[in-house]
Amino acid sequence: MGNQGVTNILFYMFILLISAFVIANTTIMVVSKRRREIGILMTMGSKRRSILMISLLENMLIIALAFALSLCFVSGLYPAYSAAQLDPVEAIGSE
Amino acid sequence: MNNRDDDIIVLKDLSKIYGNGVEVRALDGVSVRIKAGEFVAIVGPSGSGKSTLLNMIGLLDTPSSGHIFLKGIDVSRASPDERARLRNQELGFVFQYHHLIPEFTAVENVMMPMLIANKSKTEAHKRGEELLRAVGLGDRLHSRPNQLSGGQNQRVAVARALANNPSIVIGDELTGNLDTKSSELIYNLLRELNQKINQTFILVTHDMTLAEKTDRILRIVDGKIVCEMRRKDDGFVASDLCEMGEDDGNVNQISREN
Repeated sequence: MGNQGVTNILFYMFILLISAFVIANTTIMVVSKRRREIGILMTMGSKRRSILMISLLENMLIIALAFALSLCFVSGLYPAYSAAQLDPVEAIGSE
Repeated sequence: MNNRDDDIIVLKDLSKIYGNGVEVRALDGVSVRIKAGEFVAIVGPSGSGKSTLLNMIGLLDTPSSGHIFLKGIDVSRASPDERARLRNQELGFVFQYHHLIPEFTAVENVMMPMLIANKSKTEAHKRGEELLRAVGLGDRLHSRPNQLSGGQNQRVAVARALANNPSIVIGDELTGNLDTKSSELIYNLLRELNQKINQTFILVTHDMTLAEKTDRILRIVDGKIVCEMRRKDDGFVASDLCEMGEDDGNVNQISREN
């Protein structure tokens, strides 16, 4: 693997790390906002396991949404790039 | 202190100590026995240990020493899962602030404890409707908390507390945020339920007017029960060892046991 390959892997790992921090930060915010509601759920008899599952499920939904959005972004990237590379003369002359 | 059949909750020499280094004794050897169907008020100054005692009875907190018997079973050292199950099946809570989930409608909020207990949605919805009708909110089933008044929200919270037909309903300053009329309404509602279905109510309150309407008042000071008053006719009879100070605990029409 060349230097370029190693740099790419490091770069992707860095992006992944930042994404993980953003997700952790979002989760911390959600949990702190819902602290009282979580407490109420516990007084009503929710088990700790259920609270953990609710929190994880919410995380998974955020991740799935982010993944779907990034997939849409990536799939739109090539056509958008192609559009930007068009030769105006060729484009006007084409049927 | 031996457990009797009609005792729903028995506390034996219960103590709770908070803090490392500087110890704060929130409860100091509290022993009390509450019978099924009793309507009890716990009163006392701020920081006296009322809420700590209520948290113990509600299995939200564990004692540093002593025992809690719920229906004759020692639950003081029960596992977190078992405590959660008991909170769901045997206990109902109403707090000073209603703590309803804002995104849910009144009926959905009432359904929550039943869904936690794995009851079907249809069954939970039916019972939720029944309960909301019983508390006079049959026409507000689909209103969200921000569309209801403070008193109405508190009535939804009462309905939610009754969802799984608990043995004991615990109220922590439940009328503290309400005006006199709404407080009276909530009290009458609880009293009616207490008489109709023999449900046990334990209320912590600063409101002596509310406390005087119950059957039994426990006064707690510095983590100890210093006085116990029981209703007799139109007034209250205080136990022999009552230490209420000059104000007699602010309870009207009090007499002493001879």
